[in-house]
Formats: sequence, structure tokens, C-alpha cells
Amino acid sequence: MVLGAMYEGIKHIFKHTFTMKYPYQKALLPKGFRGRHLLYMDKCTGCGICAWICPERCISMVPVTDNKEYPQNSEKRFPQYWYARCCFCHFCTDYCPTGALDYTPDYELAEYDRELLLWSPERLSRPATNIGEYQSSFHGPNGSRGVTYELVKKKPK
Amino acid sequence: MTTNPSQARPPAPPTAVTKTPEPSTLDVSVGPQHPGSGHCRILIRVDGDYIVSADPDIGYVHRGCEKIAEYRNYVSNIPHLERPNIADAIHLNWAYVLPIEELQGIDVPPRGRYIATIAAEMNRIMSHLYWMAIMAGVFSGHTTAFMWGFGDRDLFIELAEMLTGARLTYSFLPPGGPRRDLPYGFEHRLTKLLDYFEKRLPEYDRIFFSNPLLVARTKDVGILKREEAMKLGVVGPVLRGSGVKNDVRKMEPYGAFADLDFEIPTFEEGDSYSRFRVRFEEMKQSVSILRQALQNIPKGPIARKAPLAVPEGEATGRVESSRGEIAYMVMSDNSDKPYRVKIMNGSFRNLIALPFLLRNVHVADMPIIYGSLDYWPVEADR
Repeated sequence: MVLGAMYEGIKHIFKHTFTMKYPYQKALLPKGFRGRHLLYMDKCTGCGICAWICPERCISMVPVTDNKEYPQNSEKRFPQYWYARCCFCHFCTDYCPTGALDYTPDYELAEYDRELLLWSPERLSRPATNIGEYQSSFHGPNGSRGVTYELVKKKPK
Repeated sequence: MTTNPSQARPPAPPTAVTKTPEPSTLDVSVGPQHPGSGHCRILIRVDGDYIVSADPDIGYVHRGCEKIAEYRNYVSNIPHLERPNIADAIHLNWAYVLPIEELQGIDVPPRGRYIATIAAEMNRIMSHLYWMAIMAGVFSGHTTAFMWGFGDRDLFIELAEMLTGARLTYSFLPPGGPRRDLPYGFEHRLTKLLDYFEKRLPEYDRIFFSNPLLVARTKDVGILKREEAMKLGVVGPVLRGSGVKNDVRKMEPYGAFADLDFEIPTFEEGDSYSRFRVRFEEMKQSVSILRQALQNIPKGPIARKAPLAVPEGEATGRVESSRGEIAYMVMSDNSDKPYRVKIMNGSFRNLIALPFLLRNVHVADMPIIYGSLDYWPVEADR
């Protein structure tokens, strides 16, 4: 019995290790990994469902002051993320009615300054850096989202 | 210098330990900072090398999950209602969603139920490997079990990441059905992983579960008899280790468990070793369940359209998690936020057995008995 346990231990001395040298080696991320968000500003209508569904209340709708025209979003209000609070559940992405939010594989989001964790809409619409073999625009294998929902009807007054 | 009697400190409130002070005994506080006890303090009274009585003092990681749930809408509640036990997140999520689906009258499509079952059984293996690494391996001083348990758990975590997009806190089951279908290549990778894991299980048995060093430390230590276990109301592997065939998956089948064929492993002895063996045999059963689910998974839609508001009513969802039965009671008042959420979980119910088990045992047996209960402090404190 003891010899059996010792034999198992000795057998595994010659096998490969589980661990990785992290900053130099990185694990391959699967499609649909829930990293930071990507905002398509040409699709967002500023409806604010992402801010309503957010469990951590880290999304706020802010006006954008740039010279571009957004015909679908006349008030120019877009989501702003506070990554100090975000728990990466990505319900905002799945519940977005126009598909303006997406997953990216960026997960190294640490900053030296606390204010830098506040991501403006322009910063959120930058493409992902840690792209690798990752395919963006993951909406399920059949091209459709798993989540479907009905909006709450307002009570008649 | 005389002391003013009005400034004298009032006596400490009596607890189970301080009630009957006896000479020749010593009170020792284990935790809450002790790495073995987790976020929980155990007050023990020792007489020499023997523990006379023990009083677990919980509540250090109380977060008020039930109260927070009244201020968030039903979908937003999922991430923080699965946080109490991140090693077992799918089961907590599922137990919360089942009563909502019952109130809304949603019948999840068969494929969605199979996907949830696959995710849940993978989570059970992950949780049992975590228990084997920390609660069994480290507490009995077995470093190899710690390393192997965490190494093989990571392979399951990678597959869960492929399925859900996150490593531990999945938020995978909103009302209506799972968020995603099985990705391309998932069945193949899971089958390969199960083949590997089935080869590993006899190795675990030889190096850890049948190792005479572990058997000598756990056999006849912390015996919980069948009648005592039923009287105390313990659940899950602790109850099955005392010889009671009790499993929600068989009694009230949810998900796809009604279509799947599996056994409930029980052991009659009721000591720490039988509780260890129950979890080891459960990992084997989970592998068999996963294989059947991959073979029988039907085609079709994965989720139904779910309204964001819930009609008025009250419902309870029961789920067999890896630490025992979990029940979430949800009361709704026809709005988008729950009126009341009540959480009942396995960790809290199993901790009741700890003062009964820690009587007339060696101090050195305390980590083994504590580890055999697989107590998760955050889940019990909620």
C-alpha cells in the first residue's frame, strides 16, 4: 500500500509540469472570453439598458463631445465604464438590443492611477490589443445570442 | 491603588465554551486568521491533548446578500448571488433561477437543460478537486494531493471558460435558459478530458485515498452515526457518508437528471474516511453523468424568451450542490426586483455537526474533521 503510493509519486517525477511562466507565456483564450468591453459607437443608440442591467452599477451614460455625427444617437450619450467595480459578467453585452457591445480578450487592466480605471466611450471603442487567435464578434456558434428577453411594460397610470 | 467597581469590565456573555469552566482545562481560539479555519473561529476547550468541547463562531464574512438582492433586478442579482461560493457558482446560480422560471411559467428547452447539467457536473468535479486539494490534502499535510487537485481542476476550468467565458464566476444561467450554446469542438475536448480524468482517478486512489498514512488519520475519527446525522439535519456528502441515500437529483429531478442514469454513493461507517470516500465516488459518478449527457444531448433551441418582471408569488428551487442541498426561496411582487430572497445552503447545515464531532478527540484530529465537512465560510455567512 505504501509502496503503491510511493510508486505513483516516483512515476510522476518525470512528467511535465502544470504551471506556466506567466508574463512570458500566456494561456490561449477561447472565443467569447469575457474580458474588457468593446463599444461600437456607430451602433449604440444610448438607450441605457446596459446601465440598468449592470449588477455593480459601474456603467453611466455620458455625453460625448466630438465633431462626429451619430444619426442613431442624436443626444450623443454613450456608456462609460468604471473598471474598478466591473465584475465582467457581460450582461450588458448580452442584453444590448443593437449589438453595440462586444467581448474582447483584454484582461490586463491594472493601472497606476485610480482615475485611469474610468474608461470613456472613445477609449472603449479602441480595438483589442491582446487579439492573438481570438475572433471578435462572438455571438454564439449559430450566430445568435442565447439570451432573449422582453422589456417590462410600464404600468398604465 | 483601588479599582473603581463602576469602571470594572462586565463579564463576558456566556457561550457554550465559557458556560461551565472546569479546572485543568484551557480555552483556545482557533482562527479567524488561522489558515486552516478559514474565515471562521472555532473556540475549543482542551484538556491536555483532548478537545472537551468546541463552539464554532461564524459571521466574519457576512455580506448581506439577501438584503442586496432586494435592490437589484432579477438578472443583476445573479452575479452576486453566486458569489457566496465561487467554487460552486453554477449550482447557486441554478438554485436562484429555478424558482423564477417556475413563477414565470417558463419551460427551459431540453437542450438548454442538458447544457446546464453539463456545466453543473463539471462544476461538481471542480469543487471536489478543490476540496481534495485544500480541505483534504493540505489539512492532512499531503502536498501531492494539493498539487494534483489544483492542476487537474484547471483543465476543467479551461473548458468551463470555453463554454461560459469566465473561469469561476460564470453567471451562465439567466432566467429562460443558458446564455450560450456548446461551442465548436467542446464535445471532443470534454470527451478527451474525461478519458484523461478517468485514468487519473485510480492514481488519486493509490496516492491519496488508499494511502495508509491518510487511512490511519481518518478511519474512526469524527464518527457521525446515521440517526445522529438525520437528527442534526446535515445534508450532502456528510449525510451520505453516514449511510443515508439522500440526493435532490434523484428525489426531485431538475435539469436533465431525470433522463440520466447514475448512482448515489453511500458509506455506512459515518467517520471522516467515509465522507472522503463519498466525494471520491461522486467524482466517478459525475464523469459517467457527463458522458451520458454528451451522448444524449438533443438538438433544438437552448433558451426561451423570458420577461424581465416576475408575476406575484413565492417559489423555492432546490439543487444538489457539491456541499449538499441548496434552496433559494424567491418572493415577488409583480415588479422587476424580488421582494425577498432567502438562501439555505449546505455549508451552514453541515457546520451544525462540528460541535458534536469535536468531542473527546485529539487536537490533531480537528483539521481532518473540519476538512471532512467541506465547510465554505462565505456560503454559510451569506
